[in-house]
Amino acid sequence: LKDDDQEIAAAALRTLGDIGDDWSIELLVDALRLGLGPRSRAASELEQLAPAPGPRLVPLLRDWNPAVRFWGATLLGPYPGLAESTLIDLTWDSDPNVRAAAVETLGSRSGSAVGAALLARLDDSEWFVRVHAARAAGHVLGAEAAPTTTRLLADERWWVRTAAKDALRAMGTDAIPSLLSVLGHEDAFTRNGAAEVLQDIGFVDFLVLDDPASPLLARIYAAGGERLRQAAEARMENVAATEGVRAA
Amino acid sequence: VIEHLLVVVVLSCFVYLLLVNGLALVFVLIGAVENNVRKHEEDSADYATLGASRFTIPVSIIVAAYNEATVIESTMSSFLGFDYPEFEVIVVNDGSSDDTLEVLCEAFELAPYEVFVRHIFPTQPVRALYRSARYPNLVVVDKENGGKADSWNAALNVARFRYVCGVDADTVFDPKALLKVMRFPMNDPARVVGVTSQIATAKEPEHVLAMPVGQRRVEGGLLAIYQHLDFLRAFLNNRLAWSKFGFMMCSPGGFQIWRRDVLEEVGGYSTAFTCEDIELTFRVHEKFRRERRDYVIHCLPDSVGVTEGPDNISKLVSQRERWQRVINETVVHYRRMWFNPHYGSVGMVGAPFYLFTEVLSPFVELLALGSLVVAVALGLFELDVFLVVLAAMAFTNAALTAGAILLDDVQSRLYRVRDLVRLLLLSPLDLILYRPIITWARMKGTWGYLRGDKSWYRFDRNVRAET
Repeated sequence: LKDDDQEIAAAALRTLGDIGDDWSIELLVDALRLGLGPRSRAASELEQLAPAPGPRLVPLLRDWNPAVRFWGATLLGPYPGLAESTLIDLTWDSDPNVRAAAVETLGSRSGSAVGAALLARLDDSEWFVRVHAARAAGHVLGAEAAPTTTRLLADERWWVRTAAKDALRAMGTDAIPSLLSVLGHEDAFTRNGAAEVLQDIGFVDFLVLDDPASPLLARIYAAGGERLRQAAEARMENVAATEGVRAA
Repeated sequence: VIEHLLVVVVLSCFVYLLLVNGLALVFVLIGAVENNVRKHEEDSADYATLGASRFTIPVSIIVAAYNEATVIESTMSSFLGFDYPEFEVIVVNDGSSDDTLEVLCEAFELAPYEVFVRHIFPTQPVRALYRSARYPNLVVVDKENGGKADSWNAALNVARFRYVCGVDADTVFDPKALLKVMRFPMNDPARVVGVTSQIATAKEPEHVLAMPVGQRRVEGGLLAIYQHLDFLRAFLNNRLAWSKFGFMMCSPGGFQIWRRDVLEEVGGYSTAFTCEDIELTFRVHEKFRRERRDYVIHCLPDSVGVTEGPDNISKLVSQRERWQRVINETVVHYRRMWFNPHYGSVGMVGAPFYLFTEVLSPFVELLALGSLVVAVALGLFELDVFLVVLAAMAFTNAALTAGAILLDDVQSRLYRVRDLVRLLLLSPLDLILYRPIITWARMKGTWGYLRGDKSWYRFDRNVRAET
């Protein structure tokens, strides 16, 4: 584990993962804490040994080293209920990587305290924390997070806008009211993003089939541009060609 | 006077030959050590854990397709079949004049969608984007023709992940290929900016890759066999040693992984060169060495895929002529690195090695041929001596080839014993049967380079048997 060659240390980590008993879990946690070998490899081994390492991971959340707190928070993903309040505290950590990890892990949990912590991080100063927060808030709060997530479509960072689109897409029809409300937004990214998500969740296709002359459809086309309209019409041509699919 | 001149020419060619073969021998020995290290690493690699881990770094696979209707379905199935936790495949139809897009649409149930992407790299206009109803991780970009570099740049604009894997649309891969190479960036993401690995060549890649390990055959006629040996030498005799000492000068277009931020930093793939792969590798080296940054570009000995090789001499000459042109363009363009200690091993060994063994070799070969003709004309030619020198050269060449075959077999044990024996027996004839074709192609390429030719003579896809 202490070899200067990262490949040798990685092989040692793998061997410990293969052994997988209490002693090797302890060594793997130590390797993670002390930075012996690549931390990502130690983490991979610890994750595949879940649930056994769970309680041993909690002290990592209070380590002085942000890299250790980061991995501690990340590895607690598959342990619902474990160290929830500490994870919520870590969403305010001074290190943005730790905040991002805590937010990501909380994304697989539920409850009002978790939801409130995630909504707060949608305005984080670091863009990658906002990325994780957008996705996590969507998972935990669903439609309740749609208005705030829609606001991130105008974020200055492309990655945040993409994460917001992913989150809204995952909300499905619950996101439609929020998306419709920003079709006339002054920011082009927001208009385009809203139209793209409405397309992806099938709302555009529904309108084309149901009411092609709908003013709402015209608004979506205006927000998404000519190519969005062309793509929708091309898809519908295919659907029209297969009557059975259309009926379905 | 002519006699003295001939002596000088012959001696110069002989010294050149000694230097090149001597360096090749050193590289083989270093490659053997490196191959052994990689073999041990491979034995201890934990692909099961990496393949299931959510910490495995996602990869965007980018594919440029121009008139690939005959192969695109099977190669796409290979890309989509990677055993890797998270990846996306972005195929760019580069204004194909055949049915490439229609084949893709039908085979993968594509439908047009509007996707608002970043325009970091300027490209030819994008006509439409398609998503697959069957594979959520497949995106197809249909754009106007702009060449492979332009297509890969268009794919980069759509790509979402931190690492990008450029592959050729005619190459099929081992499902574990991504895991095998991505373990290096995973272990050292801060330093590893690029990785590539050995790819083999065959007339029908799908057929060869489908054969079980240890039972694989080297199929096809002599042309296929000598191309196979050529690839083995390129990867195992050269690139392993280059990789070891930090001057891995060419990540081949068939399979190359780059860290996305590095691609953005250096400006993406260049459309100003005949080909994009070697130029990009030189550019990354030039920038990182100039800025004295710590970085690694790995080349691995694992055979991760099989690409389609030309099945006749005319196609082979076209391909190698193009390769020669881009090598000349690149090496001359980056001439500031030649023998420049500021660029470390890249400046002192890598770039000069390319200069002497790739750029200047057609001239040396022409000089040697010319002196032979003059010697015959003047009656100075001694057939016995010539045959002895020729035999010595053939067996030196064969020894280097045998080294590559051995390294490959130690690493992967892919081929049947009888095929290995066939390769070994045929290797001394390489100098007579294969090398003249390559020399001719390189001369043509050099002439094309001197004329400023930048065209891409794309050879027609091989006719495949029903499988």
